[in-house]
Amino acid sequence: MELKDKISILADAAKYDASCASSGAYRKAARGGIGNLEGSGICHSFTPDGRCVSLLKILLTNFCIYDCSYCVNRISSQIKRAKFSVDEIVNLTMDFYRRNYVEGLFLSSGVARSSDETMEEMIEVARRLRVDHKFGGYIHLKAVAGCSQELLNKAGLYADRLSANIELPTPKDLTNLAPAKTHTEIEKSMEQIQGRIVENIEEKKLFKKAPQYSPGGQSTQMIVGATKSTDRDIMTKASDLYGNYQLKRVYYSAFSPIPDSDPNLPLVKPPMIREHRLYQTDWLLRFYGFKVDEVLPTDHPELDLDRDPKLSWAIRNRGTFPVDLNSAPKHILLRIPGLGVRNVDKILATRTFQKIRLTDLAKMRVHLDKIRPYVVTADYTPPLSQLDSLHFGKHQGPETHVQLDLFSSFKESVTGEF
Amino acid sequence: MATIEPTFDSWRTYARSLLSEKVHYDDIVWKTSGTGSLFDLMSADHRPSPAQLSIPQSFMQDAAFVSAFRDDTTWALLYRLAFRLIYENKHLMSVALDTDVLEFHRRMRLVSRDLHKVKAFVRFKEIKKNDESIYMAWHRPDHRVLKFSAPFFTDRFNGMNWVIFTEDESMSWINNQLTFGPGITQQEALAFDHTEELWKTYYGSIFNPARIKVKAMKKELPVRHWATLPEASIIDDLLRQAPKRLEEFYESQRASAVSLIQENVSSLSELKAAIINCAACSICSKATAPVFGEGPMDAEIVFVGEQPGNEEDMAGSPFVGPAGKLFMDALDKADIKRSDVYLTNAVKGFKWKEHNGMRKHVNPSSFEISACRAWVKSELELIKPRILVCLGASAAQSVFGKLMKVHDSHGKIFKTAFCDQTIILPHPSAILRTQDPEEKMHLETRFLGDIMALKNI
Ligand code: SF4
Repeated sequence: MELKDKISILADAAKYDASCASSGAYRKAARGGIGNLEGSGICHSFTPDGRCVSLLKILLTNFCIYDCSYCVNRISSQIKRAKFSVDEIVNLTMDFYRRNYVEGLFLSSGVARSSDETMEEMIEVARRLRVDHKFGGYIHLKAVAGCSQELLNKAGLYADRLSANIELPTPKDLTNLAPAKTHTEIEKSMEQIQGRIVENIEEKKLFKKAPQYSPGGQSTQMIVGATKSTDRDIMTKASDLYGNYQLKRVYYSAFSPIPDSDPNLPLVKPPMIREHRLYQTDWLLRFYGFKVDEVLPTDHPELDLDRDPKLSWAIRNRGTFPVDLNSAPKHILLRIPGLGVRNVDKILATRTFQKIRLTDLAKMRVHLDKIRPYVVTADYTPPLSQLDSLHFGKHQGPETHVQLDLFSSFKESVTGEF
Repeated sequence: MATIEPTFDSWRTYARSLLSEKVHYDDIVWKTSGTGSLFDLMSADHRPSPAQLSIPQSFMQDAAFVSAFRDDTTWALLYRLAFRLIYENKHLMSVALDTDVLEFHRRMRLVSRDLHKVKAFVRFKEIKKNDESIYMAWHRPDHRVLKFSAPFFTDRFNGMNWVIFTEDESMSWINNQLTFGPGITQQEALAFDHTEELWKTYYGSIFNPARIKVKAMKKELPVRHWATLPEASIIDDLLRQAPKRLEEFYESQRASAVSLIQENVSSLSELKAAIINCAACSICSKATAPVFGEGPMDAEIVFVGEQPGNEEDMAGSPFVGPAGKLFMDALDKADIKRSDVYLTNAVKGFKWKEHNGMRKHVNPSSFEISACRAWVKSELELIKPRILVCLGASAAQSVFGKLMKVHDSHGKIFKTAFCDQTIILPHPSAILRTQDPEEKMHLETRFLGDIMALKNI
């Protein structure tokens, strides 16, 4: 089979994985070598689905012994199969990198014969890049479900990031759609990776020269919308994973109908807006100090699709408002709808010199009509009747542009503004 | 009026003189030589060399960066800020909401963004000359940012020889030497690189036609850069084909979806009635009818076989052919009643091809096993057996959701989605197929032993 055909088959099969980031690790180029890492990755291109291309995201092979319903590579799907040789991927990565097409490689794979055998081959790709080619670009390896600890230890020596996909939010979902996989097994891999990362930090304290282990940490992906699990289920799982394994990122991937899919799966278009709201919630948890129970209480287990989760929370918690911009502490300011992390910092920096007024908000390009009911400034106090009104919040959404695209969620992910 | 070359150094020379003379910013108009101004009121030679002006170093650094902003008003803005810093408020830059400071930061952000695009959108083409490669790129930045990208390129592409051209200037790294030179027009930068074909293939395949977002893409991949990005040349094609690709996609889905198993199917007889119309794969359209499982809903043991054979197909019952007889014998000897257990198959239809006028059994494909799995699943979920026996590899694949090695599994008890005590035995037809009488005897005895052992689980 021609290289071109392999690329088209094995990139096509890789496109359902949402992770793309190439950040979190630093690496200076070896003299005479190729490639470095500057900490934050570069999106080298964007595809017509609005997603960025930062890595050569590809599978080693799409042969797989498993039969996970949500997966296009599952044994029972009637798709074209292909397999790269180790050299082919190594050369392709180097060729693409030298032309500045990508930041590096994200290599994943179907389980061709056994988990260990497949993992070993992936590690060999990474080893050759690092050792034979002095490659300093990004390498993200997917931990093959069920591979041995020894191989995970080895993988992290060449990779900047490792990831084991949790796949679905609840063990029950997994039982239904991927009977051969379990959360316990997947989380065991996460635990092993995390354990090595911590050990490595200690080693580095003792010996400066100790080799880096997965310096960019680990991440995971959850498929959303293939089962009936609620947003609360999803975010609870995510929050547990962040807490237990110090994950760098949880990716939410709206279940996308796959060719030749299992008859049990939904046929609908991917719920992009839901995916977007989940990313927003993820940010609220990580950077705004919210807890899952606040954003998704038991009696409100699904996110509103027509307004962002922070606004929904504010409408449910009117008692907190209005907040005085000139005196409230940071964690309260962060809860005001329409104020992002950057603007909160600006307010804090400015208010030591001068009182904050509505015009200052306008200068920061804050949407005044939206924020007015929630804030007190030096020159403005909202009429209390507004917050007390039964109809409060009605005028605040639904947002007119309901069909928010996935991309804007990444945008917000970067700026953290909402 | 000050007429300068559009470079920071030229601005600085003038600005220093003017500042030391305390010339107010409202009294000066900045023009770059490119704008066609003919006279120059201020000439650097006329001015005494500046007295020590106290401008923070950090401001000058940022100002140098902002000066890359391709708009003539930038020079005036920089001067105004410098003037105010010296004569009005040395903490001016901390007044985050000052109009000039805001504008300064806005331009700084836009220049940063443009610099980022240089790093992202430069596409090298490899040009080979006597076995030596040189990598060339042509890029059109919005602002004059090329020199600021030098540290990035020299570090990242350290081990390569490369040249980046823009309209204004060029930058090259040859044998570890960084040099700057004149720019060229894009026409002169055309070259062919075979790898671009592979890159376009990759770009086209990684795109998901189910999630088109053209506006979002154009925002990040501005159309004005498309001319220098090889992958951009196929965007229009991708978009044009997308609706068709999706349509085909959904068509194939509709054809294969089992819409027959509704959630409210709550008994085996309802399922049996529903399966008659199944078209999830093409087997049953060639068979007489699907052969559904048989047995009580409260059965303790469920046996899953492979698929009905010729006789099962005619009779409409599972396990009535030759392999079924062998199996029933074993059940008998083990004192297990057929009517107490539930018997079914991984695939419900008889798959066959014609051979010498006979219907010959053909193994089901993985696809068919998975298509039919929906039925197996609903049977098992209703029955919730205490013991689940997979007879053969197809049955195991259906129950476990992955390939299982039948031989390695002998004697093991597994936990599966459907039953905590799932075991795998060879299919009885494997015994029938065995030619060697001794081997056959051995297998038969072992099979009988396995069936008897079920009673002790
Ligand atoms: S073999 Fe199973 S899936 Fe295929 S048509 Fe028959 S009943 Fe449906």
